[in-house]
Amino acid sequence: MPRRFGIAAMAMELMESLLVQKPATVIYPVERLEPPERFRGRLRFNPDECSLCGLCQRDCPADVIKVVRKRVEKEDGTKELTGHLEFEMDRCVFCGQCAQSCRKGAITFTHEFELAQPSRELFMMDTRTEDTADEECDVDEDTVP
Amino acid sequence: MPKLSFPIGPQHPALKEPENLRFTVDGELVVDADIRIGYVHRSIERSCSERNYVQDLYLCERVCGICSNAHTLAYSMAIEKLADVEVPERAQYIRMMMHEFERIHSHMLWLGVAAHEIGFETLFMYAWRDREIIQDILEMVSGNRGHYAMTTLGGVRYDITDEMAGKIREGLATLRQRAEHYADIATTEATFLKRTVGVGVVSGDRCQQLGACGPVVRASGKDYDVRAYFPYLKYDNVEWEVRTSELCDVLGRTIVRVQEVIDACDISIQCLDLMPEGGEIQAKFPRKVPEGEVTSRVEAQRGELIYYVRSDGSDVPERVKIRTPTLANLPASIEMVIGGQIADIPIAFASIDPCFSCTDRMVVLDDISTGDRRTMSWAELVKLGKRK
Ligand code: SF4
Ligand code: SF4
Repeated sequence: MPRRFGIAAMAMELMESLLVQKPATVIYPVERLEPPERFRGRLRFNPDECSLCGLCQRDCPADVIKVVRKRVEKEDGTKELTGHLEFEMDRCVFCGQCAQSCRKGAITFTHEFELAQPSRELFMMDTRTEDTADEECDVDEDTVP
Repeated sequence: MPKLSFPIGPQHPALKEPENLRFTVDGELVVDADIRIGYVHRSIERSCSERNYVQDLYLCERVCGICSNAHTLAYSMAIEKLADVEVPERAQYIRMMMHEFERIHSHMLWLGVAAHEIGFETLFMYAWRDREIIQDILEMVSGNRGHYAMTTLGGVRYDITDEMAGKIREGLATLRQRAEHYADIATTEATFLKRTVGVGVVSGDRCQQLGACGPVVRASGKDYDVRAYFPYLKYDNVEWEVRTSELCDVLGRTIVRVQEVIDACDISIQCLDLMPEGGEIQAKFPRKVPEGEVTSRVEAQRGELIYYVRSDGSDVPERVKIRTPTLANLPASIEMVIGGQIADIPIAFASIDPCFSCTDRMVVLDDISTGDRRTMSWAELVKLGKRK
């Protein structure tokens, strides 16, 4: 009888899942699922690779990144560009565009996903190494990375 | 018995999103209904005019959490048309697969919600468990379970490796089997039929008059599907058919959606077979888009999704207008509940798979106190639509 078929099949499946199968969920945090390779977790910034070009700042949709640049005069009279990046990570939507835009590979994503913090201040990621004054960067590239 | 009118919402335990529904009932029978939206207006369209084309991609993605890929697809197709950029073939197939993966996850999610609304919790649990197969595939390909960020201007962000293709084939084969099983359940299970047959009825002609789209109109016997009528990506190259049902009720909408899950599995497998080996997945894209205006449309899982973009030649769009399928389906949903039982209201509404957050753009409210209605001419509407 076709009418009985659906419910009979589901009842059998129910028995099978009760007796044979493991639960579909895991007991977090005792058990953890491994995120996939392309997962975008906590953002990692490598200041050594960064050229302070500002492309990441321009394309970040959530205004997370601020590139602060400064020209400092060296002892021999030449000028050198230094600066740092500030990340307001509580605003980040993990879209990954900054890593796409960066041509130096200075921004990557880790697999870390437990990112809660008790206050907004703790989300601030400041890569400052020396005292630098604010200066808005101005870039004009003509193609989308 | 005197008729009774009562509101539900905007804040109500039964509602997942804020909207205001008004019903007039005569005993258990619904004799009139109305809906008022506008409680989750997020100013997304206006915000698009404040950000550059790349940033807008992620803003549009967040119009909806369920059809995020459909939004980025429609948006980027519009901008690519404006900029006259050809998307590489491989990227088009990958886009198409993501589009179909998203349809699978959304329809499976809907099946669970529908089962929950009629009190069939076992089906709800099973549908959502099986949905995890496609969620895992989406996560493997894009890195995320939602807001995939796969579509970029001019292509896609990630390629599909051979190893992934194997896993996709495996996952989709299981999922297809499960979808066939649910198609059986939906058409044979007595309790399911009791709650869905003859519930939320709206005829095909009435659907068209009211401008309904997606599975709602297809479940009323009309074969309107953007993928077939205005093919985009590579839908011309794959074999598939538009699924319709003559039932015009909740059961019809269930059958169409489950069939579409099966079809989406087949389309995705065909994409894997037809995809050119290797090659580019992203075309160079200019930052500044030439002046002009363009519309693009895709068949999102809930129905036809339309984007209108106007460019003034800079790197920021002058105007972005989004028409989501729920807006088109709302008038039909009102008809669905009128004449039905109070107990059928949740499933009748759920059968259009509504998403109110996507729908809220700007609404001109009638004055409730005086009952004044404001009528706008076509010219006024065009003017309003073009204004920033
Ligand atoms: S992931 Fe997206 S939102 Fe987060 S910093 Fe990068 S570009 Fe900005
Ligand atoms: S795009 Fe890369 S190199 Fe340029 S400022 Fe950002 S992190 Fe540094």
